[in-house]
Amino acid sequence: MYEVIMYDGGIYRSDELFELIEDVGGVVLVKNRSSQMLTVTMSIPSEDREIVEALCKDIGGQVKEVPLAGTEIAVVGPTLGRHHMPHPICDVAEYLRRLGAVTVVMGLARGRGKNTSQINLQESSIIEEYDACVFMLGNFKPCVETKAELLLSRINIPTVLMCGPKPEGVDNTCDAMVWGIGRKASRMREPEERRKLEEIGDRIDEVLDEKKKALEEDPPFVHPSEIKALLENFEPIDMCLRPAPLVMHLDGLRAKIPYDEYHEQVEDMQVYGRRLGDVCVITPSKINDSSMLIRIKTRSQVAYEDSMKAKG
Amino acid sequence: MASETIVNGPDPYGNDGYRLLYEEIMYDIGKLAALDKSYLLLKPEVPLFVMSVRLKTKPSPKKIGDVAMTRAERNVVFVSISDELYAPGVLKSLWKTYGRDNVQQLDRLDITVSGPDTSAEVDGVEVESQDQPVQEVIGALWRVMPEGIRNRRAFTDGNTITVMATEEIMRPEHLLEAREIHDKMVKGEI
Repeated sequence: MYEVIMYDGGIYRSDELFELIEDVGGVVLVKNRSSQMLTVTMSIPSEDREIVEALCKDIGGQVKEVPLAGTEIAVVGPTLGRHHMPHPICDVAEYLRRLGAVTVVMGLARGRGKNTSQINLQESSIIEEYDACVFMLGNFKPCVETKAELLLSRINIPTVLMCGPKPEGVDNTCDAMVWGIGRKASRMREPEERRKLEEIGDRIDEVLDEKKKALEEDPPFVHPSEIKALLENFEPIDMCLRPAPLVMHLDGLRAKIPYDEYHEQVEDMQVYGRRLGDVCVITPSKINDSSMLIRIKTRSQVAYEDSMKAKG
Repeated sequence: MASETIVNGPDPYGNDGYRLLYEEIMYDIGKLAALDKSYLLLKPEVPLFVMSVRLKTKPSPKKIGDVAMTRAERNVVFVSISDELYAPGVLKSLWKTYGRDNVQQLDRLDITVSGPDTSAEVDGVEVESQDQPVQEVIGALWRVMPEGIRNRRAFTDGNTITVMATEEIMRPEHLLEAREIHDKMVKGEI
């Protein structure tokens, strides 16, 4: 059984930590260095957690629980205008990052208004590239109810609705709801507001747990971290200057290198004696062509395709 | 005396949320203390939003004499800005009136002007027009309004400013309702 934890500290003696992670058979999921500070999200065997924690403390860092590690979450607002940004959308995104998720903030092109708000196919397909999304709506009950029905019913990933008043009749449009946070012009600093952020984190954790359980019934052919370890040594990824060039999802990962240029090389890589292109579906990202999505096929899917090939 | 904000609408959560939002935004632009009374009508089901504000005093133009101390000495007027908020405006107005060659900025808040005979002449130079505070309040009301409620109209009468907004067609009854609120605010009936 593997556990995901985060080291938060300085870079001093961090090479010892990376060696230990490798020695115990763990994987570094995300590594973020900012000046002399370093955060490392890692997946390690449960029985070795004590040793890793002891080393983290010994080199002057802290160990934090990160229940959302290995996921990418979209925080979506009606628009990117100053009416909706930066609070509380950025506060939510920042809080989810502290729980280990990689977050992306998005605004719809025509999401504002009550009778005129829209979401188009391109927007919903971009949102569906993520593991889950938090959708933020406003302060008025009739507006929230109208827009939840209109916008959320077109998104087919786990969705948490965050709004001011408690809406009615929108239970089937989202997987969880957190009410009590509407439009705001200031940061969420009050104890009550911090509790709401914790509630959002808990709801996201719950909806992702359900998705994880569904995945466990027919797990991916390889774990995303194994593909991550394979791709990390691929030169274009190694040379990529974008933050977090490889982002893990529950059933795959996002590689931030151009699809057109590199997809053939990625497809030809070998994992457990098979071509990566045979065990994964590799597609360009809907955002633009500078990144690609790698969705790992399930074991049953690979077995079915093998049997079809054997038949002829 | 603190300003009073009346919020009228059918959605209790929205009323409280918008009261807070309104007061935070007015505080942000530094106008909360200048407000006498505010009336917000919020009807999200229509949708119709009317926000009416009565300022404590009618905005008047700000002159250099109001925001700085001046002293004349041998054809040179020394200007010492006392209200830092107007420092860029003072420099801009002096440049415009006397030309860049005649205005020298000694440090952030001290300026010398060559040319004018008396300090009273410099005191009379306008830094901020009468309309500017009104425009700032209208801008803040636009920020408070929901973003999608785009069909907007503003009325101003002395120290009372009203902004109304709806999403699609602005109907005569909407205009009438906003006008009534505006008139009552002007007369002090609200």
